Amino acid sequence: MKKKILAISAVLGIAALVLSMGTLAYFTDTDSEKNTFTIGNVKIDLIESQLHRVNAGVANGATSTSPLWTPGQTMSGTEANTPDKANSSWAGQYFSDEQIKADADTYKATDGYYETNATNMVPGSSVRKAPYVINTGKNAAYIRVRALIPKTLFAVIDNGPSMWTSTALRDGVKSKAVDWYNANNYAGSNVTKKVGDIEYYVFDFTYDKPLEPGAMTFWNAWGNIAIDKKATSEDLKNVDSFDVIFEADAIQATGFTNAEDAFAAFDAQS
Amino acid sequence: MKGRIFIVSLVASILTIVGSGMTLSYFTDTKKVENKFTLGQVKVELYESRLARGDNTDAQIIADAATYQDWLNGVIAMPGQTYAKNTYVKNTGNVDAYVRIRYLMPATIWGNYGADHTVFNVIRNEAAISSGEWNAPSLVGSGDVYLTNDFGQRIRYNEYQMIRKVPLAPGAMSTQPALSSVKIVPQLKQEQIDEYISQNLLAKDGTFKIYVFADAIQTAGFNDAKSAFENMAPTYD
Repeated sequence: MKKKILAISAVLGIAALVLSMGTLAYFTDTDSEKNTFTIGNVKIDLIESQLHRVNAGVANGATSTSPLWTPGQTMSGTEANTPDKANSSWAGQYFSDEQIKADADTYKATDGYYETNATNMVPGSSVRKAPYVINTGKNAAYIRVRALIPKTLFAVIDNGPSMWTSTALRDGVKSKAVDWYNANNYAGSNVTKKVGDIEYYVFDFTYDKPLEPGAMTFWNAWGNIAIDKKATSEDLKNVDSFDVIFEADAIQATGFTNAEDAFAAFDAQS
Repeated sequence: MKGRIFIVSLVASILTIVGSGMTLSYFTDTKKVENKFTLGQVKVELYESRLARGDNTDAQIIADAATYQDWLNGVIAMPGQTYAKNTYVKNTGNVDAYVRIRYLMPATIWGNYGADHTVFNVIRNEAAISSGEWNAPSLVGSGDVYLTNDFGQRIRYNEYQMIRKVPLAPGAMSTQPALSSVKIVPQLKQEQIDEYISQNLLAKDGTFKIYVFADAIQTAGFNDAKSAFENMAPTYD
């Protein structure tokens, strides 16, 4: 009898406890996984160097009168130190990415190459100007470089003495503006852009293959800015200075099968 | 179970976004570099002065040059007299330039003393040549230039040049003047003046003009001054 009373008392005790405290507790456990989503990004650097990627096609040790040739330099590019080389069909000597980046670091330094040569230009003057794009983002991106040349000075600046890189246009770079220029008697570009009060001709250079993170474009789309040696004082009347602008665009490669579609989307989004 | 619920929620969210008509955007970037190029200026000033270089400074010569034309306008030239005509060139541009002096003299009436019809001679500065600063005078092209004077007379001129051998730096002035003076021939007679006027060798008022021009051309692109000026046609404005 005593055991039954004890059991009943225990049950009654527990019931009372439950009624007074609410829900019964259960043995539990929890495990978790933290999911980190890294958002991709598209970022580029646009650098300028005096070094034409293949030094105007002039071999180490040779000399040239080409305005695109940089004297006193030895090209040390190899497949190992030029990551994007695999994307180019160029098989000759070329400057490595490191050589070009090192030159770009001092290109606009005080008393450097650009400051010395882009000041007090006269007919026949030429300034080597090679733009390269580095993918500093996390995602592969299609790349486009645009050169803006003042429209009113086109005849004395660009129509001959200043040069885009023709070899690039045969090796993975396309330009609608150059195609138009060649088909329309070299009459500038069919695309213009106004920056401030100045109207510019726009020459576009689109790289066929995406640029991987960390990589640099192999080809410089442009080579130099020069003044025609036949330019007269009349041609340059009232001109103390002029601007040439380079712009580089990048768009994620994911979602596109080719550069043309990618930049159609880029332009639609802009 | 928790993982599966999460995936379903995510897909539902995406479908909602797409279904609402919004366009997918793409990650992009654009960078720009602006480059300014400045042009050099080739500019030159011609100074005519009564002062030979000697110990005279550029400033003194330039100050005298400011009154030279007024002085010359008051000169009544007489046979045997010499009148100063020291011609200097100053580079007032911002780049090195080759410079030259061109001078046009009415043909026939200039020359060595004693020759027929000679009225005057332009005297070059021998020190300019012996010092090596200037080349000796030479004809420009065929040497003949026709200019019409205020009386409508078409006068034939002989054109000579003296080229400075070395470039003139910005701000610098030629050390020696290329020309030094004009001399009226001592043998000139009054009665010859009317004859020369009737032959269009002198203007109707008995005057003659000597034109002097200073030219400058950039040094860049040329090996020497002579080849530089072969690329610069003379003008007569």
